[in-house]
Amino acid sequence: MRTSGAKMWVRAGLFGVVVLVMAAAGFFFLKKPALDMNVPGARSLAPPVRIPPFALMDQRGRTFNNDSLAGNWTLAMIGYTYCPDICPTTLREMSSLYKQFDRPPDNIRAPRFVFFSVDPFRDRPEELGEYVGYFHKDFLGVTGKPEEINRLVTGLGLFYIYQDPQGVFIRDVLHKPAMDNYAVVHYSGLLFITPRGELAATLQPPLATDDILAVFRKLRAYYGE
Amino acid sequence: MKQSMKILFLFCLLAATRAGATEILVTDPWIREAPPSVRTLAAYMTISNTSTHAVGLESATSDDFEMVDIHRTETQEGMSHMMKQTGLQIKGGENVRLEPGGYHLMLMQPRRHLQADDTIILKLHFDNGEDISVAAVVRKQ
Ligand SMILES: [Cu+2]
Repeated sequence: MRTSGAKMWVRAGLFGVVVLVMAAAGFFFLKKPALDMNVPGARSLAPPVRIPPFALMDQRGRTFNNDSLAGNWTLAMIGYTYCPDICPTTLREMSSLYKQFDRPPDNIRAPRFVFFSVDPFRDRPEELGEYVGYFHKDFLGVTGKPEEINRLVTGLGLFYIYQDPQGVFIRDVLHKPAMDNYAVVHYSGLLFITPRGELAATLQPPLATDDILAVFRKLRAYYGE
Repeated sequence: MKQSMKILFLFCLLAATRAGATEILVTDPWIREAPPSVRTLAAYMTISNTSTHAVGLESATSDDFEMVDIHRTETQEGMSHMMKQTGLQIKGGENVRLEPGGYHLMLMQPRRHLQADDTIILKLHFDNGEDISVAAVVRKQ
């Protein structure tokens, strides 16, 4: 019943290995920053990462692809609705952030907010819609074929992997894991995407409204609306 | 009236389970409200050990959930990861906070839908023999 201390260390070690493998694979956070953000946990990407072609759909079944990112800034995160701790913490922060947009003093136009599900086997559009809609009526929940999601996430230099309840990693993210209550280990930072569909910066949790706004203001001043 | 009776009942229940329990104190237990489709929730609280020796939280249960695990979220280089814990040690005279982004009780497969202001009884089992029932309030937070 009791997991031995040694086993816990093996697990912690495995997680370390995953992090190292990502770093070795040229994970974007190793690139040199373009803009000094002066916000703890924020990184700007130089040059911004062009988002690879992808075709997914939102909670209403409408196509969501690269064109859907055009014309306005996008704040985004990757996650899954079965995530009880970190995803709702971020979404809660985002819903309070959205009260600051489109109003004085600075009347900043609200960026779109997208929650990309990395668990398409359990997050069907209806549940995803109910989930993101709970936090804000305008939030988009995007999902689709496992291959498309994987291509988008890895193309952004990000990463996710499944994990069984005993903590063992399941490398195959293209098929539904055999057990029901698997978890998803995932990148949990906030993504800032330009109106040209490029990833310009990331911000790591814990997120604070003022930090998100500071990063967003800087990016808008640098890249334009 | 109905609500106040419920609170009174919970208070009596808590008073009863606390009788004889002197080492562990649980404050501000709460559960984050989630939309009805969500099958996993998290409970947070502060656990204080008023004794002079270490006490461990061994497990937790609730009649309103199929399963409850002790979890910890770790974030390394922006990757978040939940680790099931075999227990949670609280040193003598110290507090441990279960809070978003860190330790939490992972509540799996709810047997009913929970809404803000609902009260859920969580039973915490400690290795000093104390079993503490706490009334966690569901909050939209
Ligand atoms: Cu958890």
